[in-house]
Amino acid sequence: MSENERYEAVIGLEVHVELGTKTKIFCNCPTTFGGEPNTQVCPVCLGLPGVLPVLNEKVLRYALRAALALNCEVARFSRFDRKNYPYPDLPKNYQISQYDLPLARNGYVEVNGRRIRIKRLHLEEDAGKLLHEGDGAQDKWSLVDYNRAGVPLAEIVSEPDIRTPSEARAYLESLKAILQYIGVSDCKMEEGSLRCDTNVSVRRKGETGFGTRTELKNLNSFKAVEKSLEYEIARQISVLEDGEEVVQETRAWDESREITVPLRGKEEAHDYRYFPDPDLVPVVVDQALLDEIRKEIPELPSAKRQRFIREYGIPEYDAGVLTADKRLADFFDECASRYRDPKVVSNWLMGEYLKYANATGLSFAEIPVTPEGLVELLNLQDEGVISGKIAKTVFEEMLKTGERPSEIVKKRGLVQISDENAIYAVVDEVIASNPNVVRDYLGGKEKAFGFLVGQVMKATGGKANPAKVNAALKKRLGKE
Amino acid sequence: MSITEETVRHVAWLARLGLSDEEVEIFTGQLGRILGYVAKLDELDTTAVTPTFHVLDMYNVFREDEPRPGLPRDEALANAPDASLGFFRVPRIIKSGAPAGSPTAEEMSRTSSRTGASPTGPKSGARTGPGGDES
Amino acid sequence: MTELWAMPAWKIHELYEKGKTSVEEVCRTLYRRIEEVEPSVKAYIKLLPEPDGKGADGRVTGSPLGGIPYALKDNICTAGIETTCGSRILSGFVPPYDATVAAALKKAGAMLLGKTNMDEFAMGSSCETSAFYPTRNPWDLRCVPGGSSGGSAAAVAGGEAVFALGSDTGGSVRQPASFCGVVGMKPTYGRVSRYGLVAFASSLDQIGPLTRDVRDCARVLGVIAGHDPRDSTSAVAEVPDYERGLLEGRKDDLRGMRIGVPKEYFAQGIQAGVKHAVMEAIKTIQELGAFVEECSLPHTEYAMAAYYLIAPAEASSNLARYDGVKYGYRSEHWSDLTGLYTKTRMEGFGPEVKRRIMLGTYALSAGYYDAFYLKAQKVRTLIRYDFAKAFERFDLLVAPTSPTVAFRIGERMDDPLTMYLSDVCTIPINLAGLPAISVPCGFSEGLPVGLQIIGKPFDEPGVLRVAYAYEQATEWHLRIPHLDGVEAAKRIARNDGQVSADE
Repeated sequence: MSENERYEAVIGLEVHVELGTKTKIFCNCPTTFGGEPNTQVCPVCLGLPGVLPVLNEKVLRYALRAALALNCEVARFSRFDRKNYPYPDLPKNYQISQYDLPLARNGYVEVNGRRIRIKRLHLEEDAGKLLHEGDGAQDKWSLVDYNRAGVPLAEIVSEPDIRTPSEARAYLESLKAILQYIGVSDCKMEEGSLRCDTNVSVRRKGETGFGTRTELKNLNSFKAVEKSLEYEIARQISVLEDGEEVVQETRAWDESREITVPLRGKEEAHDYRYFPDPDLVPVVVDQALLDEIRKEIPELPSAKRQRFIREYGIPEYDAGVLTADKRLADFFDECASRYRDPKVVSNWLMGEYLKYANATGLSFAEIPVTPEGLVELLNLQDEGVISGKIAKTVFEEMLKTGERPSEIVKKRGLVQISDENAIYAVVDEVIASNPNVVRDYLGGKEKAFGFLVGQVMKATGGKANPAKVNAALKKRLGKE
Repeated sequence: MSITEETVRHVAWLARLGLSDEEVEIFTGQLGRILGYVAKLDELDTTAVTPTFHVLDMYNVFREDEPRPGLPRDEALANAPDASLGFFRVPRIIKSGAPAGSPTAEEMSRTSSRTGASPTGPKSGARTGPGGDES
Repeated sequence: MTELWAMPAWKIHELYEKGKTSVEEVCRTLYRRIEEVEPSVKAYIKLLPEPDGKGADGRVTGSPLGGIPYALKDNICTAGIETTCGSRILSGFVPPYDATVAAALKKAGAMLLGKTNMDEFAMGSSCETSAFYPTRNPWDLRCVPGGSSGGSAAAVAGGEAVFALGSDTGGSVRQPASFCGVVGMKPTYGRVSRYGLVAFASSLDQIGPLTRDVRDCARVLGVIAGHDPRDSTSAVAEVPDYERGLLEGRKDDLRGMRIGVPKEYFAQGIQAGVKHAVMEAIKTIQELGAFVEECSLPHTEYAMAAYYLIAPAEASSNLARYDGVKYGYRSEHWSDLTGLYTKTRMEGFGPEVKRRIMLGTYALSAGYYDAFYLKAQKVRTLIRYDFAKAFERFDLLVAPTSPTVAFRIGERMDDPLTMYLSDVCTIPINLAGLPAISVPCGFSEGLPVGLQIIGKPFDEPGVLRVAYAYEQATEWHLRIPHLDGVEAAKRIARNDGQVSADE
């Protein structure tokens, strides 16, 4: 038994999600990403003397949607607290958050058949951004941009139920899919609208207690979450195997070296001095509101996956891939409900479509092709108007321009040649100009037949109906 | 009730309040006397009493999610003691002498523009924030 | 005839309506009076060279406060006008927005003369913790005007403003009103928007008027009260017409009113002269037909202890934002960010503010939250219950506003606890969020005494009614301090030596 097999990891995730409301959590400033510094600010989010926060109702509704979609118990009574911590990115030097009475608790997410419990979901305001002039230690200043200060965040804390790095990643992907499905966040890790810290410890298999944990930060992608955990677990095991003890600390993932490093400097012992924010009144959620919110929740990924398997008869693997993103799932759903063979649709989406998305880095929203377009393309192929090969060419064009396939076919003259006279004319020509090959074929060389087909296709610019070409060749060569 | 100068210095640090040695001495005495006075509250048994955080019986006060223009940038920065390039400017947060590009624990545990990390602080000390602690 | 500067707003308004005076004349008179007495009273931190407001266009008859010159405590934000809170740390801060009350007064056509002096961040009971200078009591320039809204009270008493707004966290409107012989009201928590009031203790702060008489108080309250969508703690309850309520009610008849006299308010350290004046006032109220009976608010003695945990705790958090980054003062003596914070706050805050930040930070800190902050909030519940129980039997309660008359400048600066005791009669009302008014009810040692009338939540009409009936039956509110500018200045010159020796 190898070292690694004698240990198991205990992992918990703390995820911050920016809720996609139009305005900030406590004022009417817009939340759009990427504005010029300090142009999306007002007296309230700048924390000027005398200002007061008022809760954005949409923020509560989005958070409730998330809480229900994550199977949480929603608190009937919750409130906002002040987390006191002086830092230049917090304009008031405290953050409005929820401490002992969070909005929701005790939820779970199903990840590959395992249930990962969610400890709590609460609301808080985001901090501003700090930039550092230059990069050297000689630079004297940091710059503060408060555009992000006050953007609504939902913090979702899991129980330490995760056992492997890949499960951590799968949990994050499920979480992301669910939040996107219910339309409360775009979950873009690269823009910081989804952020994740992890807690990890290891213990010998069979033990029920917990080892000393470390906290990992600077995780900027799903891959980073997985890789950093892999590294950190191995590191902790080797520390223990060396007879030493794991130090409880915060470590950062160093992307370029693919290792975790302890954060420099001694961490302050924080004393946040939480107390209920007297400027805000409690939030009371009654059954009527919950019923109303429940109606806003669409079919979630797991339910959709089951339905795709059931209704469309596609393999479980396909269903999993297609439902990972709501837009992709909706795309498939729409095509599959109108086309005779859903598996063909699935093949196109999982093949050409995803390949294109990955290659270009475009999001599904940015790819202009429509479900109607794909169905039309498949029908053109079925009707023999275009060949399978041409269909791929047409689809490539559709992915770029979103143009209807019939238009592309017409414009580029890609209609399949099925007219028998036309095909026979080309076949006769090819036979006449390749007597040696014909002889080989008739002499038993089956491969020669393929060459002849290729010549016909070449002469027709690939537009000849391949079945008809085959038939015509065989007839002329007396094999029919 | 008496408190020590060490406690006074710690509390002053939490409040980011610079105090002279003389002030530390004065406050140690005064805070001790005031805390001695407020200890009067211990005479009351409040185990069954709910605290009053709000005198008004109000809840669910909301605002519409409608964007409204805030302050023009020059007005937002008009009161700043130091502003530059459209930003508020503060002394550099990374301690000098540190290798460039490696953030501090402090910074990492906060929201940094480089990392895009969340504004959650580390979870040491009492009364800390919520967390996915497994221990 | 009374001088214009000594008239209440409603009377000036009548003169406007009859065309007997003009805004120009009223303003001229006020500015002349200010020029005369301000050097000795020092009620203002900032005096505007000309009044800010639209009242001056002559159309003053439509609105009850049209063309009426007034003053604002300097913790109420005014767009484009420096707002300092009496603190060095906010020096140079020019708000880009108006407080909701400032906007309401502007809209009503009232004309802002300036921003009044106050205890730094409203922490104090004497106006002596102001970073600028102490304000003096117009009745006796050797004495404090009370606080923290001492500048506003002194401005009204001294004829330097027709009315003023103050803020009341533990008595900061009522106690200075009592010390200066004017009317001061703290409305029910939530009645007046706090938006734009620089926060001291958010769950206790409430803006209120300081006026020459009760009718003006009703008039001003009518303009500033009401729901504000920018303040989550602002009540949605409808605002009655307070002034019409007074004029239409029977002002010489309080029959059917049940009034309680909480005995605890007459116990600790009350001066004999104050007690006498208040008892006489209660007798008058009885003579007006009210049923008066002694009652008890048993937890009164714990109110101050609870207050001095709750208010500093909230303040420690509210004042955390003053760090030299976004506005106000920034120290030049720093080497890193932490140094910038600690030095800015060390140099920017005065001793009383530092003391309360320390106290509040301690009360919230790890290990002490339950024992101090939470405990205090529970005791607050007991204090609220006391009142609720009393209000089952009584419509209103009456008590002294302050156990003493105005004290000498410098007298209580050395001992914070003694200073805190100035607010022993007003603090419980803030903890319970109730409306209360202070009206002049006599003199002791030549200084004004205030009668406090306390009502149920949102019963400002009841409070005003009794206050008005009492006022109409007496003449205390008509007395004005004989502040002779030249004489006063001389006396100041003599006193200054004495004061600085005390400080």
